[in-house]
Amino acid sequence: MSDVATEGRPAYDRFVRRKLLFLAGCLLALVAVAFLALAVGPVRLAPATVLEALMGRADGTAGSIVRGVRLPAVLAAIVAGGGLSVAGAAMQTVLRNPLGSPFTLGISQAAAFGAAFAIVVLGTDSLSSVGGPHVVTLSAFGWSLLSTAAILALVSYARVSPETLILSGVALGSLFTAALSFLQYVGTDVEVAAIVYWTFGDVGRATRTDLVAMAAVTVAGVVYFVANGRRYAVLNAGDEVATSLGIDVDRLRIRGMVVASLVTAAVVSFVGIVGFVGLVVPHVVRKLVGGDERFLLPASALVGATLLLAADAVARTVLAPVVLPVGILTAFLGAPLFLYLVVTRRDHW
Amino acid sequence: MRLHVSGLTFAYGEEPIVDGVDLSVAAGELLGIVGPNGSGKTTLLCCLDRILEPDAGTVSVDGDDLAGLSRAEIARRIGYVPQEDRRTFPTTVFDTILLGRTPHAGWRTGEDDREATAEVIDRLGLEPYALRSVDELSGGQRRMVSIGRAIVGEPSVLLLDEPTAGLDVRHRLEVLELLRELLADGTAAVMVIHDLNLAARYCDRLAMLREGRVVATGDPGILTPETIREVYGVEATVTNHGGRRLVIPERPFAEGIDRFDGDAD
Repeated sequence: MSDVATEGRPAYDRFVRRKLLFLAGCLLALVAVAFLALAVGPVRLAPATVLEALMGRADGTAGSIVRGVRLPAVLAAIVAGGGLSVAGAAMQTVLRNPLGSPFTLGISQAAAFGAAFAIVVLGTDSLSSVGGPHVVTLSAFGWSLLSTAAILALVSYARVSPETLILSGVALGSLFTAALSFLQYVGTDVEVAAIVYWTFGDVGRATRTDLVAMAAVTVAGVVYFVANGRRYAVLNAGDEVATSLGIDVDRLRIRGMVVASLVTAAVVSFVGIVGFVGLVVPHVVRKLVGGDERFLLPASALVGATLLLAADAVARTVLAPVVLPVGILTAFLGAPLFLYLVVTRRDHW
Repeated sequence: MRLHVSGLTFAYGEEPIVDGVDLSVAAGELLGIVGPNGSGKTTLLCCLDRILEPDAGTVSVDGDDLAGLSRAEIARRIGYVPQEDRRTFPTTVFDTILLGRTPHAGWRTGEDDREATAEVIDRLGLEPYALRSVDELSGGQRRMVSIGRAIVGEPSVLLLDEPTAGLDVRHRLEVLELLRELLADGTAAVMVIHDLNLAARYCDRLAMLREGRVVATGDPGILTPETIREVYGVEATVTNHGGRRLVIPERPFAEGIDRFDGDAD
């Protein structure tokens, strides 16, 4: 028996090693793309100059372009792409639905409403200097948390089934969209322009302090999901089976939802709405390395960071000298990519 | 007794689904639960594993009352094979069975978890499919994977919800033969099964369930025209075939079908 049994092991070990290799490859790709993103833009820099600037040895202009302008945007793209993708992968697992994404529970809609609320009701001009952007960000974050809390309150009355969660999220999302339309209707031209500008996700918007706050929440969230990947893999086997294997299903599901919501809220509040990354990236990763959550969650974070970074680099250069917000580009690219995935691999939807 | 159940009761609102069930299963023994749709068989299994919290009664495994144990401690004692594996995103056979080690593994899977998984895969003859996605397998193979996931944690008690449902004749026999082999190491098993002839052939004892109550319990000899009429409302001929009970359903009793309330199991 042990003769044959030992045959399956090396095969599985190789299978796992391939996945680890994939993760390492993703990390390398991320570093390479990040380096590229620092070099391209309105002013094209030589790789050597970028390296020198990163080490603080470049002259004034190159140094301030790399460290002052591009590095914060690159870091913001990494954090936002990784955060949205890991949140999307987690939502899909927790809700057991391939359509799970940071948008499913109405968080993005709530954030957009929150930003509009600050601009119209609180009269904060997001372009004014007196703490303006921070009020908009805080309002966006606050309203998305409120939306999450509302869903938690709703599902604590009903049984916490994935269906209840999705339906509650859809309902809240519609509610916030309606409220946003109302604010846009009563707002002045300038306010509506500010709202529209805010909703185009743009990683270049994040300041250094923004970046630290966003990165802190996102990194904590990614660490949580990567550490608990195994438990989420059990959740994927179905509620009864997961319970029989010793998992407290309701608690794990609620925790996953709260952490994914926090990460989404943090990202969306700081950079605006970046569509489709959270939905598409987990499906791309599933196609590449399979559905095992232990690898799906970290790989989603890495692939999402790389993709958003690449998309931002393209958005900054494709219509040069016009710099497009990356949110518009991801929506343009994400939809056809998603359709392609739907048509070519219908295994699980 | 490996598994001892007394006075187990579970109700949705006012309606009792499982009503004062007493059972016991010895080491290596296979107990078959038979009864019509909606008689509470699946609910009973879920209560045994505390997937559903019973309203009254006790379940103990090897003398330990489950009420005093944590979820993980229960998981180490009882393996559960659902009727249908409802996973949303497919994973490989190896990864699926490896999940069964969760009650033993901490945050990560260790060397012994992977070793135990490889051994179970070999034992179930799933070796050629180890790295295949579960949704590429046939119904019979998928059932084997579910059983593998339940036994890889080396539980004392195995609960199976209609392991033969939806399988062809050959696969039914294979699954049940395998189950008998698995019990040779002293595992006790409770199996919900619809096919009375397979139940009579493979189970050591049967419990006939009707409206959440055990109507009759004992060796397969309890399958008589009278008990079948009482439990199922069906007129049946019961004969002997090679020393085994053979049940031939003839026709439903007109007054016997006064309740057909759905497909709860």
